[in-house]
Amino acid sequence: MANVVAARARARVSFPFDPFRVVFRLLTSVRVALLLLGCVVLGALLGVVFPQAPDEVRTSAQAYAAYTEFQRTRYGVFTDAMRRLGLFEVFHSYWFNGLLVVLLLAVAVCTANRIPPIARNVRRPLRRVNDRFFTQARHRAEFATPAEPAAVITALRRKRYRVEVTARDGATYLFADRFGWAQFGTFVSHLSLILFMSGAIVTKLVGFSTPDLQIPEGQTEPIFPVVHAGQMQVKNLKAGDTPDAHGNPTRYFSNLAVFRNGKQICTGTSTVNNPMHCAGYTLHQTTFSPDGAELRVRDLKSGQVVYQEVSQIGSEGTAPNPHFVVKDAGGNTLFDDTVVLVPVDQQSLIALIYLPVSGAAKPLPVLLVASQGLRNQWTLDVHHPASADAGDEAFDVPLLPGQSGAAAGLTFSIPALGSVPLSVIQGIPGVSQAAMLQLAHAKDGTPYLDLLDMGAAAGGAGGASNGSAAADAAAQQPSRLDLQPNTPQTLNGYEYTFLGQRAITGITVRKDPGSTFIWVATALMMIGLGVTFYLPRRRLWAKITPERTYLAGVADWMVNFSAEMRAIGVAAGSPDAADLAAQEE
Amino acid sequence: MTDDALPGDLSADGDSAIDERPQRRREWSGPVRSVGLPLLVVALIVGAVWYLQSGRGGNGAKPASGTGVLALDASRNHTGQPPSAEKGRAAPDFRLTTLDGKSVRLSDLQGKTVLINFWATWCAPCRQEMPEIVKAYNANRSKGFEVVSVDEQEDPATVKKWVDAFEMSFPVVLDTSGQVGQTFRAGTQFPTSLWLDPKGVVTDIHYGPMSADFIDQHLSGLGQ
Repeated sequence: MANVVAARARARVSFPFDPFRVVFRLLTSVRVALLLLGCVVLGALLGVVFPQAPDEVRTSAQAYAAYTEFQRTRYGVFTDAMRRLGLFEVFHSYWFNGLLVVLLLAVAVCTANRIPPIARNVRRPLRRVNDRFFTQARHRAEFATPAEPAAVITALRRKRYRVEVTARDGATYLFADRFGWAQFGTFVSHLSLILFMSGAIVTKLVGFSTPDLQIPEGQTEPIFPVVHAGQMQVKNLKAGDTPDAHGNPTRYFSNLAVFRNGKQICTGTSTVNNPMHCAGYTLHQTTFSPDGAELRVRDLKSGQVVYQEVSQIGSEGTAPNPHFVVKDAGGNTLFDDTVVLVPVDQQSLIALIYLPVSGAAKPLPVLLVASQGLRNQWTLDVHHPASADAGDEAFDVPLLPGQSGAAAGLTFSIPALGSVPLSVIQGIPGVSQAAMLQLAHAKDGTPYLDLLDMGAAAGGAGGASNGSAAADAAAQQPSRLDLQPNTPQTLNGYEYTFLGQRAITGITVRKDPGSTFIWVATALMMIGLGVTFYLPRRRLWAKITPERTYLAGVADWMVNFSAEMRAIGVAAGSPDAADLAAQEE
Repeated sequence: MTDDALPGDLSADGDSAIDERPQRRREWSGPVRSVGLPLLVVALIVGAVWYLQSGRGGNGAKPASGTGVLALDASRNHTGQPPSAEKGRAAPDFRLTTLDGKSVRLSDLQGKTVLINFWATWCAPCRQEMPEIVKAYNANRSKGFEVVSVDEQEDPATVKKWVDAFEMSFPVVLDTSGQVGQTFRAGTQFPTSLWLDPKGVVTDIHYGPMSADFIDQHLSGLGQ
């Protein structure tokens, strides 16, 4: 007791101000650590609740200023304060990253300074205690000494205790230790925390990620902006999907090649769940579109290629693409194909089709008009305007998908109504303003590209969708082309060739140097927690006299060590251990 | 506490003095051991990861032997100043290889109006302006106009596809290391074009695609 009092008195002696000692006390304080952790959690919560500026915005001062101005509509007078506090970029702010660094240092210093005492406990445990310990320890038990006192030692060793025996003053003293080294488990857990935070900091400092690179088949995109010492390009060799038995896509894949300094260094396949790895980078597939169309334009005057690009079709949405069938009175099929319609306003699209009616002097023109009504339902009208020709009467046949109707001896039907992607593209040579491109498929699945010169087609009608009719339509409708694959057609002094449908894959290239540490940290955390919780350390001292055996020890608070000691007495064959155990329970 | 010491001393509530809870053990061993060493360990871990990972990103390749930026012979420098990719200065000399393995040296083209065009196949504005450059070259090559098309850091097969598509008849050289592009400050934007007079002096630098009018303007004095 006097020793304790003296020790406490010494502790109260104040030391001269030592900044290192102050830092040490702060970094090793559990309360400070909990406070830091709480602040990090609060900061993370703020980063989730408030909108965070995208990376592309943060890299430009002007873009960031515009972004915060946009937030002003939501946060009003608080916007400036929020910007100054970094609430629109919490995870990149100095204060949040500073908290992480301080937390990392606290864990490191705290863990390191617990190594000496814990190592001492493990390597040089207290082997002898005085007799009062057996009567006042929290975990203790006593029972009649078994007929064979050595049975206590045997029982302890059966429970995997390491036992040391000394004899003193007519009694046998034991020191038993089980899983003493398990106390190091806490260091493994803390080391994992250090690695977690170190990995995150390293990733933040040297990690790299590209924006989504949209790469058409056959083309490349660079990984770094412009010229870079380690510049690499990613080439899309082939992209596609693996459909199931019903035709639904199940797995998008991209076969990629990576080039560096003019040489191919890797090839492989990337899918959504299995990215490709190359030269320390990971190539993730993020998006896929089958609706790319490669178009080449040649100036007929010079013979020179003036345009060759892959356009992703679908930026303006989709247009209805009906399967249209026309039969005459004799059951002969006059038309059976999908039809590309051209928008005339927000609600309507049309196509002009020439039907080769038997016995007629010239093809019969019909307008197929699609209108979007209530609940976005499409209805179609087959309309033939009146003309001066004798016997040629106007008709109008409304149809819904799946329906058929008749007029002028012809039967019209819409067996199915599909949709096609549609885009308005500017900058195509020979087109007066912009071109509307629709990527459709014929009944046999062959893709074709419908090109409409929107500037020249003011109030214009559409053309036909099969080969020969397309030529007629072109003559009648010079603003529109129906481009079959690799079949050039001319318009306005230019030759247009649809080179084919191209899949476009979206790839994100990332470099995450901290990921290795995260995996190692996770493994260490599992090991550390496993050791701490499933290999609990026990220390037990025993005094065996001819009459009574006294046990006392230390263990984690969650352990009923006293009960375990009584069980040792039972296992050793003590005459009254079982009765005493039953009484305690 | 040594092996011979018998604690025996008990606290008032009867707990043993054997207190092995680590969180009560905070030993101050001096600034170096208690603070400095742990911080050094953390710094070493972070530094090691940074060093190991930064080296895997790929170092810049050096140009093949005999290619890249070269010293400009004094007899070909008519400005009296060191070469530099700036208006009014002699353009730095370089030698690069074409797709079919031939060597092109910039200073050998003195005597002609030269357009050096830095581009890449993935650059949409580059593809947009290329037909105009091809057209201008075809119309003016006989009048003393030359084009050196420098592709930056791409593989030959990818470049050839576009050379064939646009029917580029002028020399297309490969700057696989990027050294020439960086020297001519084409490192931040594609396309970058430099116009040189017949003495090899830079007369104009243009960033971005060139229009047909812009090219015609630079060629207006050719053949005179």
